[in-house]
Amino acid sequence: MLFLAFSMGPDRYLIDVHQIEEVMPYIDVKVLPGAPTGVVGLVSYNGIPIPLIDVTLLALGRPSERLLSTRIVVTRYPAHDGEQRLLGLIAERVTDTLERDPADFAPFGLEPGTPPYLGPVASDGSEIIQWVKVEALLSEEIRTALLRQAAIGDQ
Amino acid sequence: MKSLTIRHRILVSFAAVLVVMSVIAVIAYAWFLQAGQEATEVEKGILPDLYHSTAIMMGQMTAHSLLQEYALQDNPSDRSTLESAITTNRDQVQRSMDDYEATIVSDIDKQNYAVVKELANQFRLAETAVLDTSRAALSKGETLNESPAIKNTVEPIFVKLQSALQAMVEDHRGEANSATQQISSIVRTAEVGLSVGLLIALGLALLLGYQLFRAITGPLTRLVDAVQLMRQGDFSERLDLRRRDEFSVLADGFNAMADDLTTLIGQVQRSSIQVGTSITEIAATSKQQQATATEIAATTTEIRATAKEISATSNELVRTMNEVSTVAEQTAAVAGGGQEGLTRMEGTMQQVMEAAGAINSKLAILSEKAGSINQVVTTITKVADQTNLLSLNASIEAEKAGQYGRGFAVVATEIRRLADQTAVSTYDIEQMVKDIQSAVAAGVMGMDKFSEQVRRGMQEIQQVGGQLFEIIQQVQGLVPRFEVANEGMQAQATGAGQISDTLTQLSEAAQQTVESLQQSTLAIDELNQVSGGMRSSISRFKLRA
Repeated sequence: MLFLAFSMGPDRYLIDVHQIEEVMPYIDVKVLPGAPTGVVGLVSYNGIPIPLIDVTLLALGRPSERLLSTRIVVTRYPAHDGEQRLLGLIAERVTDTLERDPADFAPFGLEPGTPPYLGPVASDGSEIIQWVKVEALLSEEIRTALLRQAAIGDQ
Repeated sequence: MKSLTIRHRILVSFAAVLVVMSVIAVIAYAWFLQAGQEATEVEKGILPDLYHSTAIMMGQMTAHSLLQEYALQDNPSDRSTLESAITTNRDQVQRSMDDYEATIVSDIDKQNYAVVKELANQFRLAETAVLDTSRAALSKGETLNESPAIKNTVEPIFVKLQSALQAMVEDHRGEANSATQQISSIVRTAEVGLSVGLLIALGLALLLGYQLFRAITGPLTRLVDAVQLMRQGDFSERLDLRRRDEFSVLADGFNAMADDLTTLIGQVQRSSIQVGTSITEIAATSKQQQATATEIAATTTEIRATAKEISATSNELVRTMNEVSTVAEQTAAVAGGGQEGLTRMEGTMQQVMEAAGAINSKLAILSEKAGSINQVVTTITKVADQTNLLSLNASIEAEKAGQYGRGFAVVATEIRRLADQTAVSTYDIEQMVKDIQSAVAAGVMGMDKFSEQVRRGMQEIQQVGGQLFEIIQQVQGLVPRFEVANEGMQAQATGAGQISDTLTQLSEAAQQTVESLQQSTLAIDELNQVSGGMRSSISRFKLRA
């Protein structure tokens, strides 16, 4: 199974490519002031504005660095109403894909305080890489905001 | 009589005597006039007659004797001599007779003379005859003895002539006698009269003279006594003559003189005392001066020593100044060398700065190039990025495509690898360029710093150069000042020498002053003695209080 690798801080994380639409360069971001923490704004994907979440901001509390390797990963997430909605993720060091067998992943013990989107882990050489579930990235608050946004967008 | 002045007395006395004398004189004059008349008579009348008659007599006698002698001569030459003598005598007699004739006055005289004349003629004739006879004989060459002829012819005539002449002479003698007797009688009368008159005059003169004598000598003696008294030093007496003549005037004058002298002597006495005091003061002062002069002599010796020291010190200073001057010149030379070095260094710095500027420009070019490289690298990076993105999307799509996308996945992977390599390379290049840029920047900074340092260094050099220049100037400025100081020192040395010489002179002068003061002291002692003598000589004067 192919994964897209990205970094949050010093660690590497994986996203299933099946959840990914496309990778875009980090440009043309429309900032939304007053949005909940983590929601940066909107970006236009094929003419459609999609919400944008900075995972580094969400996870580490700092915005992603403006590097060429920092890209927007256009992902699909299943909304609460069952529809597949597009969600942009700003991630650092989006340069590589990784071929991995899902069986290599070991479950990662959930401890209180750990974000819900952090999934099972696997080793890549000397380092540990963790599977990230996109839908788990979204908190209730963000989801509500996105929903509202979607509602507005639909109209 | 007391009121008559001496003048009057004298006048009166002399007048009386003169009157008496005049009377006597008049009478005597009358008598002498008479006597004179008689004398004149004798002189003019009687005596010439007497003389002439005697002369005639003498002449005749001479003729007679000559003739007799003539007769006795045998020698013709003697005879001729005698003849001439006889002729001469004859002429003489004739002259006398003529003179006598001129003076005949009385009848008796006339009678007598006629007789004489006649007889004389006769004589002459006889004489002539004799002579002629003799001459005739001579011409014949014979000498005649004329004596008998003479005796016969000439002799009787001669005798008669002589007696006549004698009678004449006697007459005249008688006249003369009577005249002289008369004169004698007059003279005797005059003697008596004059004696009497003289006695009268004498008596009068004695009387008046005695009076005068008294009138004069009395007061004169008193005057002389007073003067004598004054000579002895007693100025206390004054004259009181109680007269009203010249002596009273003299006495008043004497009194006034005595008063003046008293005053004068009083002043002199006071002055002599003052002189004594002054001399004492002068003596004291002179002693002081002597002491002072000795001190001066000593002081000048000290000063001379000091002046010698000053001279020596000045000479030393001159030498030191010369050394210092040399050192200053050397310093100036060294500073000059240093300045040259600094100038060279400045030049070098300038070159360095230029080089730094050149380096800076090169570095700028380098930076620019690096920038260009950067741009290219950026482009390459962008391309790599795009390629990477593309490859990612291709991989994703390939995966999503499943089986059909597998080959594509490989391609995508290859592309991604290429892109990664490029990225790595570009990353490396970026790094290198960054390094270059940072190095360049560092270099530029370093060059800037270096330039800044060099500039500061140059400023400092300029400063130092300026300071050196100042040093040089000051040192050079010192040299003339040293010369001035040198001259001053030499002048001082000369001056000290002059001072020494002058002090020698001063010492000598002080010595002379001491000697002269000693002499002065001696003189003062003498003066003191003199003053003492004067005072003692004046002290004997007794003044009226």
